Amino acid sequence: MSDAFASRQDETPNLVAVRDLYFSLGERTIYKGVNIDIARGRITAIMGPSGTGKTTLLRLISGQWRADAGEVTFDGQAIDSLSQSRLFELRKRMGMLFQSGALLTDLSVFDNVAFPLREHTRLPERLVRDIVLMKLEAVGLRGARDLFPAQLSGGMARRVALARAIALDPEMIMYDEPFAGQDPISMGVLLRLIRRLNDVLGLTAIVVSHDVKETLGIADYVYVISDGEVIDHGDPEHIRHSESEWVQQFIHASADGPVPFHYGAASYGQDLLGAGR
Amino acid sequence: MQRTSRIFNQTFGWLAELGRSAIFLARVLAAIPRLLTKPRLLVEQIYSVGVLSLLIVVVAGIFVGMVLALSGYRALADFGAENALGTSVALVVVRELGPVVTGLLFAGRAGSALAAEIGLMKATDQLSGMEMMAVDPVRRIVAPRFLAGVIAMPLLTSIFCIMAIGAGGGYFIGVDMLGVDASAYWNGIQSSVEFDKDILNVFIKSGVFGAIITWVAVYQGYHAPPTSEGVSRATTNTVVIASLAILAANLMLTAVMFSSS
Amino acid sequence: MLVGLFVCLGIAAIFILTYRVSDLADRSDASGYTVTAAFNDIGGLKVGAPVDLAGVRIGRVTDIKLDQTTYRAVATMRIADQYKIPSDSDASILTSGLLGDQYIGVGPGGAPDNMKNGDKFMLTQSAIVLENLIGQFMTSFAGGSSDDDAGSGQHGSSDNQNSQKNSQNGSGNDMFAPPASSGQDTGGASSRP
Repeated sequence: MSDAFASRQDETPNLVAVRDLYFSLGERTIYKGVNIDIARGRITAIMGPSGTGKTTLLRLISGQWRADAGEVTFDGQAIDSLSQSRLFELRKRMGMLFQSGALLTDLSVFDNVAFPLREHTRLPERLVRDIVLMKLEAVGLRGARDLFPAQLSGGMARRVALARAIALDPEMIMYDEPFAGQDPISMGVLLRLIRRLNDVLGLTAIVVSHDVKETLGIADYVYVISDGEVIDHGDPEHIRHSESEWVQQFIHASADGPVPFHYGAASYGQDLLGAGR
Repeated sequence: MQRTSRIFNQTFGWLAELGRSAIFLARVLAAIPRLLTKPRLLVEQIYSVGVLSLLIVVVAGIFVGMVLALSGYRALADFGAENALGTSVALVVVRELGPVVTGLLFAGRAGSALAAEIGLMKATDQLSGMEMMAVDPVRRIVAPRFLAGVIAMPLLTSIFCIMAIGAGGGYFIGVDMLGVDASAYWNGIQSSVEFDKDILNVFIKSGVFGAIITWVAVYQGYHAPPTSEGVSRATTNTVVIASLAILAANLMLTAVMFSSS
Repeated sequence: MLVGLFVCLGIAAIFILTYRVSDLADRSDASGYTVTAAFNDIGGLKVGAPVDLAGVRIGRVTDIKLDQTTYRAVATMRIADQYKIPSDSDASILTSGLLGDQYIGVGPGGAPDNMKNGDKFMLTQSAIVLENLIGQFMTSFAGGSSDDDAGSGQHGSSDNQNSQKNSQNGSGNDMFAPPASSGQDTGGASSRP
């Protein structure tokens, strides 16, 4: 089956397909029947408020967690039914950029980027060095190779993590909140990097974010999810003019709307009067 | 009624935890053969669990040996049996105190550090990051630490025993300070400490203790909730559980070894 | 680097434990010659116990067996090559201190030739068993009762006359006297085929 897919790779536009996904963490239901397609070679953004389980989606796609019901496929292979070794084979084709960077704190920047190469290949050390320097050059941090993660700023750590994620030349990269907590300059750097990786290398990208302006600026296709369901999807232009009031509130950052400003509570007056008793 | 059900639930919870940790141990053990292809990982970990525990073990060994010689001398002098001082110090150290005290120190020094390190790696997504790079953290992170603990404990325990019995501890107090005859001290030890009972006992006990301590530590760290509170609790749990487990295992091993001889 | 040092240190400690602290060094020493001695009662003598001559350790007990024809315990000991023992020397089982372990003390004889590999001590003296001693005192203080009564009360029926005599002799002479010089058990010679 995978052979069939490989031979007509160009005919299957979707690298990742999520079908009727149900998932809950403990008591909390996170997804109730979600369908998402990630197109090959495009940047697909998953947007939604905090706590809707956007990161969870990445963990489900990468097979770290398993869905309660429904199916997640990567290049035609159902993630849920793979053995660990097959799953690890598949993961070599994906990279993931964690919000925190997730750099190994006891290794230098150079060794961090070299880590996946040394683990998965038997390349001679000279070649490893060349590849690592190329990747670091791509994110502009070749000069920081001897620093340790503790000495890096948040933006730099994320760029090193990006260099590490592309070390094995994956087909797809998942970005978990790449813009959160970045100053405007490093935000600009990251935006440019993501776009360039996509344009130059033809990488498929999934960007999970709640930063509306940046995400809409970079993405080719956008899914907006809330409360475990896809509220709207389409290209950025479509989302900007979405008919959904909820999406309008989200992208214009209005304080009140379908999502109330107030958390569910009894009437304000009654509460105040009742407080004395 | 409610109380019994709560006790039942709690017991069941502990049993389930024990089962999970056994499965985890099996995963760790399964990862050890592949570790031999990367000995550098093991050496790094022997440094952090072994070398860094060396000082505390040496100092504790000297103190324990000294105090055993002091109190042993007072008790033996009443019978005019000062010459048996070496025997009594050596037997107490080799049979019980050596492995147990080293184990407790190891749990406090290396076990807690292991749990905190792995817990923090989990809390900072380093373990998930590794999984995403298709590297199994159990193989890359946990297995070397476990094996290093199993290797380091017998070495540390042997060093502890030598320190307690030898020139730093018991010998210093007994022979140099209290005037016990030096050859009587060593001869007494040599004629009473048996290799296949007492010395093998040291190696078996300390190896088992090393496995228990690092097992508890890596399990607690690996399954710690990824919060600062979770990590701190994992560290505390490691020291408490590992210490109690050592004492219990010591009782069982001593019982088995006595019955077999 | 430090790890290497640490591992070396640990292995050195293991070697010291094995060869300096434990009895393995002596036991694995296969040189020397073996001699045997038969005792009526070896008391608490164990394999590995030292063999002393004038307080100097000259060897170790390597084996203890029961001779089924004479019902005596035969202790085999290995003596280091550099120590020569006159052939008419005697062996006695002694206790180091009041509570210490038991060992074999060799009292040198005066014969011109020395013991060879496989030789046997002609004169031996059994261990002093504390209970027997107390029994002796009890009966002698009680006055009236005869030696025969006391003997049959203390010893099992399988014990022969020799051992009874021996324990009496031993208790009488030996308690505070140098062991090698007195109360020697001649049973070894008499029961030899």
